[in-house]
Amino acid sequence: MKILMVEDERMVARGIKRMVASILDDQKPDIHHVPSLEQAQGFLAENQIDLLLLDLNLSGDDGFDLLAGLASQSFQTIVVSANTDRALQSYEYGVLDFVPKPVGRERLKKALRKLDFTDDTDGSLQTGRGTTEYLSIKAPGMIKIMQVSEVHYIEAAGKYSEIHTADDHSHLHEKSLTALLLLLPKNFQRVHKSVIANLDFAGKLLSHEGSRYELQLKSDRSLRVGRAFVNSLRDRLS
Amino acid sequence: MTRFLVLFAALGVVWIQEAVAQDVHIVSPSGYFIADGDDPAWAAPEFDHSRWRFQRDRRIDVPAGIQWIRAPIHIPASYIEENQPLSVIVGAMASNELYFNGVLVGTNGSPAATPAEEEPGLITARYYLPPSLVQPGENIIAVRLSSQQLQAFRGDIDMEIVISPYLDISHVRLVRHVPALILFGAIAASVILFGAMYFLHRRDRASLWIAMTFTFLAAQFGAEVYKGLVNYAYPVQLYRYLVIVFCAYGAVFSLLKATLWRLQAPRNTTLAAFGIAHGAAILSAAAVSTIEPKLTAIILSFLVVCLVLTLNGIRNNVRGSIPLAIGLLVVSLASVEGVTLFLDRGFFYGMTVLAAILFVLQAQDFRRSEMMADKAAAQSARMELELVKRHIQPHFMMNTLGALSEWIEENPSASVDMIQVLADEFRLLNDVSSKDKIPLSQEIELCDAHLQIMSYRQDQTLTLHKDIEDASQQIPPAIFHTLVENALTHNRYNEDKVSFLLRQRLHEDGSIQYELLVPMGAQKNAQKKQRGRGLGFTYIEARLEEAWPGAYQIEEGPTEDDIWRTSIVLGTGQRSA
Repeated sequence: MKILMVEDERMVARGIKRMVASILDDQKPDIHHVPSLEQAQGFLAENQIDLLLLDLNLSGDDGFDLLAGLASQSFQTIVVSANTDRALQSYEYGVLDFVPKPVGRERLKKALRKLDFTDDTDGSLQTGRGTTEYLSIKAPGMIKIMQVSEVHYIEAAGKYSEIHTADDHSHLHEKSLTALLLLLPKNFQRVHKSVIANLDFAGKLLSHEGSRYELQLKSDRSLRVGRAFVNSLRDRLS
Repeated sequence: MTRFLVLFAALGVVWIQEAVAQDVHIVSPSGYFIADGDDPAWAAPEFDHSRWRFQRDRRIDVPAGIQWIRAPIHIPASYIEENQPLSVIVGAMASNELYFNGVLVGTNGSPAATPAEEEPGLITARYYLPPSLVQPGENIIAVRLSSQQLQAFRGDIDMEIVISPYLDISHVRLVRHVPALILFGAIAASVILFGAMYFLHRRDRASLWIAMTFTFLAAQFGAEVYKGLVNYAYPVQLYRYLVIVFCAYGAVFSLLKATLWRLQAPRNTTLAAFGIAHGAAILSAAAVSTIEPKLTAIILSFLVVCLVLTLNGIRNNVRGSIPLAIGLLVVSLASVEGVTLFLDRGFFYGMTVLAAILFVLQAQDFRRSEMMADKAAAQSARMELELVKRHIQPHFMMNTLGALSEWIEENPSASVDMIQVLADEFRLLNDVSSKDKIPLSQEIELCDAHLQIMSYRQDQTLTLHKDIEDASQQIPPAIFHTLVENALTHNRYNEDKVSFLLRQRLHEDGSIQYELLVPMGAQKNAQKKQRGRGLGFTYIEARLEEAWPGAYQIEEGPTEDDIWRTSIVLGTGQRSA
């Protein structure tokens, strides 16, 4: 597991590194530490990571401006900050968790555990676990913030995801479907290995010949439903 | 408000003058026939004085010996018809005998040909005129006089001969002194008020000089009215004049001082104003011959300089210049009545108007300084709060605690030391935050404590080198501490050892220069190379303004070798503490 930590306090960074290493001992974490956002961006340009541990207040800099951009990328972000009054705002931008400073081992462990979804029934996450209200999306030259309530359904597109909105537009997101489900609230339900539906827009579940299933949306579009996902979907709809 | 007061004061003056003028019934001679020498026959009404020296002017050049003055005087029939007793008043610096229509009606001292023989008379002699002596129309007054005392200083003397109803005299006296008493009250009140203001607020030099102006004015005025209240031997007149001249000079000198203070004139202007006023006073006083015009010339020279300065103040928008100019103009214009009336009353009336204006201006100033003091106190409280708040704000507190918990894991004894240093910094902050000045040595302790905390946080060695000439000098609290804190916030040091330098230089002009040199390190991003003046800077400027209002300089910027330099000079300019 590849982790990047952005932290300008040397002793605090040492503490976090030590704790993460011991909590994720079995996953052989590879933790890289940089003291500034500038260096973090340089590192991200050349390396793929799984998790970003981010201090929002770096050398008097407000890391918030960059948070939306970071949240639009493929990795998950956990904010580690002394400014707990920014926690709610962080969640809105689509971060996985907000760990207040000074960092305690148990709190850090709880945050890191959110990455782990192996306890789910079939080994893949089916229902949204997060609280985010917005998704940050990379558009040419800018980061767009989209309301989660506008999302109809999401399809896998290679290692990315394609987000379809109520107004019939689609946007590419760098996170995988599973990564998105960690952030999205529980009205998002996986209906197929490669499709997530927003159940707020769901209509009837149709069954066709040969055990083929389809979820009809209120917009008259219908989504194919994987056999492995039918039972839990039916429970959610009833 | 000020305009109303000026109007009110002017109306008051006019009213008093009118009241005095209406009640005085007097007749005076229209001219004087003068002969040096002594002859009893010169008292006779039928004596022909047509070949004597004649003058209409009251000023008489008295010789070393005895002199006679004959003055025909017209007495209206109404004075006699009412059958009231009359009096002749002779005011002169001379001993005299008075003959009315050839009859000796009285003596004042005894005129004589030599100083030793002469018995000095009183300055004002009042003679009773029996009604039987007086005839309607033309009468002859003959005065035998000598003025032997104070020969060297005497020169011309003023010869005042007046006839008025005997019973009117006390009434005239009283009426004449009513405005004087009112004015004296106003002038004395000014002395007390402005004097008290100065003693309550020592920095208020304008009040001191206004109080001095009115003290001199009161003394001058006292010397003026002394003549009417006390009848003294005529040689005393000279000392009275000396007192009047000295006090008048003191009054206008103090008024000029007060004007310069009010306008906050720079040193050069002050020197020039005094030079010009004295030069003009000496030149114009030399140009006229008698005492009253000389005195008027001195007073007007100073008043005009004050007026010019005040007009310049109006041009430069100095607060209160317009009412002050009006007051000075009123005093100056009072001189158009002529020198005698100006010195007798016009000057005092004008100065009373000026006093009223100064009362209002001073009250306004007082209110303004009170408001400023309130504001400064509120500001000070805010500064104190801000200083303490910076250290309990989450970024400082939580990161420090985070570092501390890591030290506990790694090296418990170091963590105990860190707790000690943290306690030191808080203790020092608590000691200094409510003060407006602390010794530099205490400030250095505070900086050292903060650098130690940050050393623990970053596991670096951060030190402050000192190049100090006098560590007992006072500075506002936590200004270098704030700069050090800013430096650590805005720069990132990758080196294990970082040192700052604080330098202090005492300059000969009394100012003290401080320089803090901080290596710039790695800036967190490019645009931050030009550092904005952040909250820390606001704090420093507010503290400096509070302790050295207007008498400090602060500048900062990078040097060629990547050092961030902040320079603070304390005690610059004339308002230095």
